[in-house]
Amino acid sequence: MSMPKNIEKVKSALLVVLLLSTILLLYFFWENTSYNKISVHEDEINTEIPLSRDVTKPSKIIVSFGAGNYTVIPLKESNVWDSNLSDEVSIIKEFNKFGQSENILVEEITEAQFIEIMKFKSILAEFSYFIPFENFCEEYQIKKTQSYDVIENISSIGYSAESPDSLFIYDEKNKKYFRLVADSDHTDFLGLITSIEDKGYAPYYPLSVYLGVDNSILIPLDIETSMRNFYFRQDSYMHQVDKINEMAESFFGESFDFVRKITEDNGTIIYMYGYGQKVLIVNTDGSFEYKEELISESSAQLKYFDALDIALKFVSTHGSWESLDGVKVTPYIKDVDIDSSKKGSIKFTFGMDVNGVPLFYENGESIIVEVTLGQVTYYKRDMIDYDQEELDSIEAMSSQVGFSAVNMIAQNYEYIYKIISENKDGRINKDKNIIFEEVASLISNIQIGYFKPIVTNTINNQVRPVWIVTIEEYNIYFDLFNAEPVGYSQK
Amino acid sequence: MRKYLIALVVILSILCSTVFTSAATDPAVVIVNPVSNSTVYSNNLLISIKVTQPKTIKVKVFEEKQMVNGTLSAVSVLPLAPSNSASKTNFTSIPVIAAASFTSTNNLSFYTKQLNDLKQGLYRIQIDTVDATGQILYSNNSYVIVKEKEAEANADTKIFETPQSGTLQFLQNVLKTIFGN
Repeated sequence: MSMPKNIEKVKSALLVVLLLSTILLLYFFWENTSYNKISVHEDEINTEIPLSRDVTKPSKIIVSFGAGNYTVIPLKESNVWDSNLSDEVSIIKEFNKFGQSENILVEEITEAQFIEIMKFKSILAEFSYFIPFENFCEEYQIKKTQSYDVIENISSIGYSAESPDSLFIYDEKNKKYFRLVADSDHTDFLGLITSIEDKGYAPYYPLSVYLGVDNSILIPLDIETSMRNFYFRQDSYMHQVDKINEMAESFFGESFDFVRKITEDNGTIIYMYGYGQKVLIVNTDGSFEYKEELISESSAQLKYFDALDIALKFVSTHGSWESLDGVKVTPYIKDVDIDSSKKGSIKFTFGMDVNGVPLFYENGESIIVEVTLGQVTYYKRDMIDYDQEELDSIEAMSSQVGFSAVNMIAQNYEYIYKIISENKDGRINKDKNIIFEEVASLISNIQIGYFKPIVTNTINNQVRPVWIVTIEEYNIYFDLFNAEPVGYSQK
Repeated sequence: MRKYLIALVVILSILCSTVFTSAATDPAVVIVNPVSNSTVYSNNLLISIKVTQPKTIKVKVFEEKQMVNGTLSAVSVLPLAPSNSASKTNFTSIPVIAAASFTSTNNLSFYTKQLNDLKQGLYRIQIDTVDATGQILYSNNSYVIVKEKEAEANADTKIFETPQSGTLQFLQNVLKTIFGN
């Protein structure tokens, strides 16, 4: 009697397994997904994923010591913005303290008032993009009051000793300036400014002081640096088949089910899943471009930092945040494009810094990720590879004095004018003095960095130290030591 | 007699032209900063000089002091009018930095230098345009008064009105939400 019972039990078990298999297979077909999305890769667990706060850094922190004395904190000293160390003062920590006040009033002020108050002893962190203020407060655990509702975005945040109970915020998207007034001063921003002054600083002055033109952007008096030219390689070359395959597998799985591979006449390789729902393009210049059709039907827009987390994780599992050969660079958000017309998509452009110095490309960007409703719909990767040890030994050599920024402009104003005048009427046949004043007044930023030219051959490619002049939609690059033009890029 | 008159005219012409040359300023050399006869409220001073021709300049900075009760003292910055040329002749010029030489090789260059830890007083920036032999062709002078940094902070700086009360702010925000900006 027990035999038939056992057989029945086995039959029941088989039926259950068959039923579950049917449900799983139906899921694959209806949700149009693949096995590798469910399976856990070892790489996925071990890959280093940068934190949102690590890549969210102001493009510059301006410190005014009063009476026309300034300095600009470089990107690599991000601890002034946000620090994990308990004994280190930072802007975020002080903003948190400010938020503890019981009554905070928010009033809109004018640009003139904002500029005027920041001329006194002050500190101002400026981003090159804007972040939704509500999401910013959530991410940095800043206590939010109802009075903050009028502030939609944050692009800059500042403190001035002339108004010690206040903080100042600029919303670049809406061109609005705000003053947040607390009932008393709980912060130690003044201590932060004093500590920067006491440590010694590189002096900066407004361009107006050097050149006598109407322009308040700050430039250094002089630059001493250990930056040098160094050779770089593409992230991958077309003959590196294993490397390219490994990259493609991270998108389509090891078996490449339903994936076609097309090689074009110019050497470009295209991987296409299905009828183009997912496409990976491997370019001959070493860059990768990935596009995925939107499948989410949700109408809810993802929060800014949630979208950023998705972007950070996606890159870490599709190529990583290092070069494909493992050279470490430090990513930071360079630009953000929040497009509510495209179903709430957020496009993050990431820059990289090499040994604390930002890297600029003559063409393109290091990494671009677009997140739409929780899904990565676009990913462009154009990293470089180089010998880290060689770079470290080069930079260990003695410092050199860079070409004066002021004379770099004086030497090249006609060249700059020629670039910004391309295809623009009304900017021809002007007197040299007028050209100089026009160029000097239009410059919106000057900084130093590393410059990667467009790849021309596979052997002699060098990244070089440069001055970067930002004017209208252009970044124009000049050799840091002799001020010769080396190229330009357009936004 | 006639010869003596001619000789006298020639000598006077030479003398006058020399005087004219040594008093003339170089139009191709302009002090951009500090603005002449201005007041700077800082211990640090940026000197910026624009040179619009290929030439060599020598830059010197002096502190102008005057004798008070047998002691050289800083010039009182109030109520001195540095544009008053008569008052300048009573000064003793104390060098602040050694003469710095700058050569421009094109039609637009800037000489820049920062002076640190200046004390309150009157300063003169002298720029001599020199030829290849070092002879001074032109000379520019500019005066600036340096005051203590704290003096600026005491100035009336009422930039903001008193912020509105919390209730009024709340009502304003509600109205803005209903009707827009």
